[in-house]
Amino acid sequence: MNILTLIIAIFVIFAISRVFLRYKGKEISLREMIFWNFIWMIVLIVVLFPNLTTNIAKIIGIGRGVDTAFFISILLLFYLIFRLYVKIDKIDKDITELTIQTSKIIHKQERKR
Amino acid sequence: MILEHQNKKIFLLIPAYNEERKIGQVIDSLKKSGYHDILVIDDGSKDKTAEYAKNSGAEILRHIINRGQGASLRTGIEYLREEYNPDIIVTFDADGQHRVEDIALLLKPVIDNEFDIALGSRFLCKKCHMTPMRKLILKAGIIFTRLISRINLTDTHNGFRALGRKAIDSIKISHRGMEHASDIIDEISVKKLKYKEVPTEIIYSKYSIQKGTNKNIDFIKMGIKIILNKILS
Ligand SMILES: Nc1nc2c(ncn2[C@@H]2O[C@H](COP(=O)(O)OP(=O)(O)O)[C@@H](O)[C@H]2O)c(=O)[nH]1
Ligand SMILES: [Mg+2]
Repeated sequence: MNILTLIIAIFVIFAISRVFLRYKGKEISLREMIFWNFIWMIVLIVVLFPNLTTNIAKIIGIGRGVDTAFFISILLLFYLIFRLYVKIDKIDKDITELTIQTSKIIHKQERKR
Repeated sequence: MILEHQNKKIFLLIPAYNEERKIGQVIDSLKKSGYHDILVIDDGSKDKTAEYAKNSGAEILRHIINRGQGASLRTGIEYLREEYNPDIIVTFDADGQHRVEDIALLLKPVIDNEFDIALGSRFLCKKCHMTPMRKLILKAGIIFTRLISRINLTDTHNGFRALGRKAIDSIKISHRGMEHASDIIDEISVKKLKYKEVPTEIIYSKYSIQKGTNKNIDFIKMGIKIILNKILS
């Protein structure tokens, strides 16, 4: 095991502990907790058992194991960015709705007085 | 001029964002011409826009934070519908770029019950001058809208409109920013509203040009947003 592997492994364990803490603090849902820990576990496995990814790479047909890992990571990143986009868009719409409705409510109350 | 239409409830709806230098003047000139029902939506301005609008005697609703012109029009139209049951809503800029005299021209096709909505067009107006850059960008916007909504208009991003009852009740604005102009055109097409373009002047003062120039990039961003929304929805 080289130094880089060790550093990444420690980082992943740190990340997993953060996910658990955020779940316990009710900041993320059970589903999200499972999702994120799943991701981090995969990273951990890829780092600890590089041979495994090479075998998967052979099956999928993309050459080296590291390439497979990169390939999957990029796909995942795209998906995550998309999810973020959708979420932010939803929040943005919600804020607009809130602003519109509160401005009307406040004004109507002021008029009554 | 308003006396001819006494039986119609006509409201002026003015979205405003940081217009303290002009808003008072604009409201005064509207009142002088007989338009007394004026609703200003102060969209989280950081200056004294709200105060000056109130002092000029307009009714005013305030957004706590800036949400854009589309959101402000939604607030205004919803509020007017809930409280006054208006026959016609005229949307008017707060920066003094629209001429009060042109309101009557926009009202006519709607009052005569021929059209559901009248749209101001600065390209039908022969006297209007604008900077070449602005012209180019507005033309691009027109072609873009033509492709997306398949409606033939000479001016797609003009905030000067008169909405009759059917338009007031049926138009749904989905973008909160300037892109709402495309929403309105989409809605005209989808809801099969009868529309008419009316030549209206646009006054390009030093004040408006200085405010307008840094927005050219925004137009491109607007285009991207509209396309993204089309794809995702
Ligand atoms: N509610 C609201 N109104 C805005 C905003 N930005 C501009 N406006 C108003 O919309 C009108 C037209 O805006 P302007 O910047 O002059 O656009 P242009 O005339 O098309 O270049 C003016 O009355 C502005 O005060 C905004 O963020 N929110
Ligand atoms: Mg303007």
